[in-house]
Amino acid sequence: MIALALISGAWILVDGSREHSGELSMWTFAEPHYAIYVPAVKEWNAGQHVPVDMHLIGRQVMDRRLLGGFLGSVPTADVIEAERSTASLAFAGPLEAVGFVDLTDRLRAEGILDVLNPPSLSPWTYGGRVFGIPHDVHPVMLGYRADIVEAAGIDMDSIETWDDLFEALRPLQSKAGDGGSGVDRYIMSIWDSESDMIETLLLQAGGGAFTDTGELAIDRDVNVEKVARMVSWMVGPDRVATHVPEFSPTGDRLKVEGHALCYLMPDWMCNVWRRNVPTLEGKVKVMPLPAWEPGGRRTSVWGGSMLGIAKTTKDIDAAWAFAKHLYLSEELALELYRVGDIVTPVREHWDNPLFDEPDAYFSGQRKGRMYIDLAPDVPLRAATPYFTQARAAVQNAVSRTRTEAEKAGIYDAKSIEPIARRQLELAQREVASLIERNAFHRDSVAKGGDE
Amino acid sequence: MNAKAKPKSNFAPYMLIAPFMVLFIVFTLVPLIQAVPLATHHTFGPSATQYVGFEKFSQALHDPRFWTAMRNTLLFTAGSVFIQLPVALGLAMLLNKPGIKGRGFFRLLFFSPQLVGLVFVAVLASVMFQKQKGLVNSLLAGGADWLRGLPLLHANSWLPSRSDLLGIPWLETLALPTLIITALWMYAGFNMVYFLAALQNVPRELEEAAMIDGAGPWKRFTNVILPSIRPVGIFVVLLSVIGSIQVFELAYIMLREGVGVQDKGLTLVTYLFKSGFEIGDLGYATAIGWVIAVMLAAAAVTQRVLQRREMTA
Repeated sequence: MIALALISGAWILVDGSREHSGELSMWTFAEPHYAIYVPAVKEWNAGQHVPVDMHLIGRQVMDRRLLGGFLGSVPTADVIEAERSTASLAFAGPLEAVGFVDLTDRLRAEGILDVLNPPSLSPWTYGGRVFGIPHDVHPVMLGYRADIVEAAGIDMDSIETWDDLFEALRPLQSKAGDGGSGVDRYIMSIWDSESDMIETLLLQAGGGAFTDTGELAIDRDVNVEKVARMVSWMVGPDRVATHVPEFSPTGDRLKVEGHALCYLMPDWMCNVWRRNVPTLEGKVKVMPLPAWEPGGRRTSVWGGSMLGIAKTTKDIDAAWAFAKHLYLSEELALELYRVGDIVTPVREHWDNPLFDEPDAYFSGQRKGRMYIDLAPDVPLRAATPYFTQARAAVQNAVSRTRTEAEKAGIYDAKSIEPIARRQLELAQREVASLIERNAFHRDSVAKGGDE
Repeated sequence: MNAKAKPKSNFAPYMLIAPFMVLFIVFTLVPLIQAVPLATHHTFGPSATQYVGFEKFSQALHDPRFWTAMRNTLLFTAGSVFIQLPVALGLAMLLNKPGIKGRGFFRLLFFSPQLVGLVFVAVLASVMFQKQKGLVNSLLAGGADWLRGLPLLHANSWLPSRSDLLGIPWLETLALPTLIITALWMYAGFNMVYFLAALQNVPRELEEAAMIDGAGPWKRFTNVILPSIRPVGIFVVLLSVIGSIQVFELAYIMLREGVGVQDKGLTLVTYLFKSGFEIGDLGYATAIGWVIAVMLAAAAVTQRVLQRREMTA
């Protein structure tokens, strides 16, 4: 064993291929992103630039290593593509301790702030300073099984609100044994265990765990009302919602079987479907989300990534030049849509005809344009280190509300509201005490109060 | 010549324990010492620290999630001790029966989860316990369908519907029972090996003497077998308690966000991990760590006391 350890150790030491070829290093967590960036990085390295060495690492690994870098000065990459929950780890300390370079002045001086879709900047803006270039917009539409819905003669264009949707599609609900479709069929895929979906729908309504300015507001009225309505979809013998888990073979099988007819579909999810359930090509369509109320917002947001520069990087200017090349170039923006179905946040690229091309998977719809049309309406999200915990607390509140309503046999939204309010108040207290534990936050609040 | 005998070198023992001591000092002792001041500070990296006294401990005592984690951990521990160990002992007794065929095969079968490892078992279990298409719910639904087909049972009137059975939320609100079942699968065979070894050392003459005296199976079990395997039993119980208090990987791999829905699968170590490595509150995580350390120390002291009592008895 000792010999084996010595040999492998020596191998690692002398193996030249393991050495970093670039002077700058970059981490990304998403395989599709990595695939898109490889040619771009190669091209960059071939030019007269500071070369970059890109690594694909798992998201959880990145979380740990990034936190290690911020908390313990463990080396990190110079340029880091981070998902929202990862990037927010940087914001748990005082503003001056954020591990990413403050890009606000550079973005402003070079006019980049003006070309970016404003909602895309909000998750990376902390204390009024921007710490990353946004990667995406991630507007959300409603994906639906067009083959089933249209065969039943239902006109989805006439649907404006969630209530309209459930009323129109209710005849298509069925149980496996009742001679209908042969499978349990529900209208909507949403469940109390899916914190992302719950957050998406609350944001659509103008709610969510935090206000646009980052104040904790889990128990505000808009959340109470919308949680009660969501729970009413999930309870009772005639419930309209079911659980089709994303990113799982079980979920993919259920999608093919038509267990649920409608799904929340951010732009990146189109790519997940395309890869994981190719048999549904030509059977799926997207439409703007039904609004909570007539005239209400027809989209929301789910997910998001940014490109940040670590403060420890030796050559910030070189890292900045590379970051701009990667995230702001038209070529990359188009590739991002072509390969990943992701709409760029750079508004000046939105006019490209690529976004008007019909998409065979989505029954020939010009889905790129549809997502872009909704992009300006995407809700704002505040940057906070506690959003993961707050999102989980809201999800627990929804789940407890559902359990309680189901046990008590309460199925209508208005009657569920008192339960929802109580559970959301509990969630509010839980997250408030979590924030209270952060001595730096207390200090900044106290300073703010003194001013 | 009367050559003086060279004094024996005392260097060798120190050399032999040196590798362990180095690792122990670097990875256990130093962090343990550092954990004392860390629990009294709020930190965000070395440059941002603030002394907060014993506030982190007081916050833990007033934190409902901490108590949820404590309750879940204790319930999981109880499940390990009161379900897993009797099952392990039962399996060991079955395999210890004289003349049983395929003893080696069954021993391997029950021990096999240990061979593939915890992560593999947890991943497999998380697939098996899924709603709708998971093996467990499919078997339950299939079994229910079969019962419905039997005449005279009127199974439709008392059995849950197929949809309800397919939708049993093992990995959500039933997270804790699911963890206990998976741990049973994982560790019952492991503990069985200890019990089997102990049972094989029980003198056969003692059992035969008890039989001649008219003792039935239960009397023989309580008066002969149990006292004979008690030292091993105490060891296995305490090993299970210590392991259960530290449960983390199973929950982390099997459950959404590592905790399941409504924190039903939140354990103390998971909460420590989340506080330290998802929020970055190392002080709070350390305070939770101290609570776990006290619990483990109490378990270890109990083991020592019971072992001493056993030896002096």
